[in-house]
Amino acid sequence: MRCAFAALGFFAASGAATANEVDAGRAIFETGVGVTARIMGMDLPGTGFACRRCHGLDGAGGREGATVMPAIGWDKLAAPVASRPAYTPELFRKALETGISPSGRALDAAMPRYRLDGAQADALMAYLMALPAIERRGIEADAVHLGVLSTPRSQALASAYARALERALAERIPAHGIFGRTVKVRPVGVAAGTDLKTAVERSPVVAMIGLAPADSGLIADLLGDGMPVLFPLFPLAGTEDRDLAHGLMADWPAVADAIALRIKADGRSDIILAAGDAGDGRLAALAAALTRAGVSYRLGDDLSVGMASAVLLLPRPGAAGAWITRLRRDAVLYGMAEDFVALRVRLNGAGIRYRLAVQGTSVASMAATAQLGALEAHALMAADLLHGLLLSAGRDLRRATLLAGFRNLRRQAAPNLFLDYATHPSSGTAAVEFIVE
Amino acid sequence: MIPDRYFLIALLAAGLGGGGAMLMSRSAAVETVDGARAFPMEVIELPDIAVLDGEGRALSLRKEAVGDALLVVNFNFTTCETICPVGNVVMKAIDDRARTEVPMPVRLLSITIDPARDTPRKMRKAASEAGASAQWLWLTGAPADIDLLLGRFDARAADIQFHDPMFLIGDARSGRFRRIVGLPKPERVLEELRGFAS
Repeated sequence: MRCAFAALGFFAASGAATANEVDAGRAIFETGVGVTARIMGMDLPGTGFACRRCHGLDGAGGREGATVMPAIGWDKLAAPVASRPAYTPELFRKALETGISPSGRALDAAMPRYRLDGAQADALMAYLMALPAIERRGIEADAVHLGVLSTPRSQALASAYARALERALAERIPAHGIFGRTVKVRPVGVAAGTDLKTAVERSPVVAMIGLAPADSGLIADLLGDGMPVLFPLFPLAGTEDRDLAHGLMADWPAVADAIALRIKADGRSDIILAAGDAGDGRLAALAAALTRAGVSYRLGDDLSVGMASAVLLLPRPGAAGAWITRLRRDAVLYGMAEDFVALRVRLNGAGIRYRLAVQGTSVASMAATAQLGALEAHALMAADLLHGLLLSAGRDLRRATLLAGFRNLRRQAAPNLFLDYATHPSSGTAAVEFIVE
Repeated sequence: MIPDRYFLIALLAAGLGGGGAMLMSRSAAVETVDGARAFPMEVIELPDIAVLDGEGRALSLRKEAVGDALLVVNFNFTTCETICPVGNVVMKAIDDRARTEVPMPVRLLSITIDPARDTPRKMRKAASEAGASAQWLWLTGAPADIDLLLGRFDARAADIQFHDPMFLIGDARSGRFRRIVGLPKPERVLEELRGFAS
């Protein structure tokens, strides 16, 4: 269940709003869902005109050309300024609906007028009131806390990663910290019978680092609650929130593009895309990539792999690999290397030719360069990137200023590998190498 | 002081002839309606360049993308989530209404200000999301060509994140265009188009 972790404490103290209200307000603020935007007399879905798009994730506003988007955190709205009196809840709703500010003047034409009911307006206000606390979650005057999530499924890996990250941060960041704040790794344990919400509430952090593959199913809940997920130990799907999620290995669309281009370069024309029952979004990414590359294909499953001379396979999770015997002798198998780790010996034994994309190419390159294990190399790179982000955020560290650093973040990770988030905002890289047999 | 600067521009324009006419006119009376600023008529000659439409086809800007139609031009980039979508709503309304409310063919052009990133595929996707008809072309091209085009329209942005919404309404055959900076009501643009058609 989605919940605004930091806001809970705030509202429990004030009694002003419920966590559900804050959640509903966050949804309106971030996605515009459920409201109607009126622009130039036309009613349009609010999803194209969410508050966040112009006023920013933190509601701090900004400007584009001559158009000023003001700060809309409630602390700002509730304070009078030279150009207008303070907003009250009634004036706020009036401004949203009619475009008339408390001064009586019309808001800029670029600001849509919104149609929303009383409960939606209250929810949006509740979120704007909670926003300053959400922005400073895990940030103290003398420390900043980075989280490593640990669940019963991921405990051993998460624990090892937290230790590796601590060591790496100690190497990168001076003991006196950055801008007066020491950087601490805070394990966020989700014990059996405890929900994610409670765990994160108890251990506030500014971002969750190195999420384990076994916990990949929690990424939507974390992002949905506005928690940044940085440098997970698995590739991002590329469909996550662009501000809140950043990886450091090629995301699925990039891997899918690499595979499609490889098939095209190999001159394959008789292709079957066999997806088993993989329902995790990779099938869609591969199908889209093949279409982009102009490669025609047929859809199939692991029972029909013998029908083509080139097979692009997403095996069913836990499948034993009986399909190997169905492959044609002249077939070439394409796929993602991570899917075939346990089957590689059998593939080699059967004499199957394959081209397998390594999703973790960037981490493998870092590990080879640093002569470290993959986990240590990942943690070292994550620490380096976090160091850069904390420096660029400056003294006014907030969630938004931390994440803003990705716009210009570029680091050399290996002799021929740069992580460049201006070019690849999701993951910094599209580097994909193949294991060829 | 601003008046002095305008005076100097006027003097310079007088000395340079036609090339300075736009500078002079841009400093002249500006009509502001609903926050959008409409500038006096100016003359713009479209460059003879090739542009790419959403299908990746190379089109002659003058002959194929524009032809004999009246024009409404705006500038955007596909990753813009702030004001561009609002500008696209204005374009969409014009696109929907021009066919029945303007007695001449009207062509709408959305020109990227980020040609290095905006591929034809991205432009096609953005056009589809905006609900563009076949008369509303989303154009990209070689960065040097697009830069030349933006220069002619005086629409270069030092930083694409900080560009103003801008619409140019006109007739490429005569080269006369009305520039509106801000977000005009569609009725205002349709009225301009009818003026060009008459």
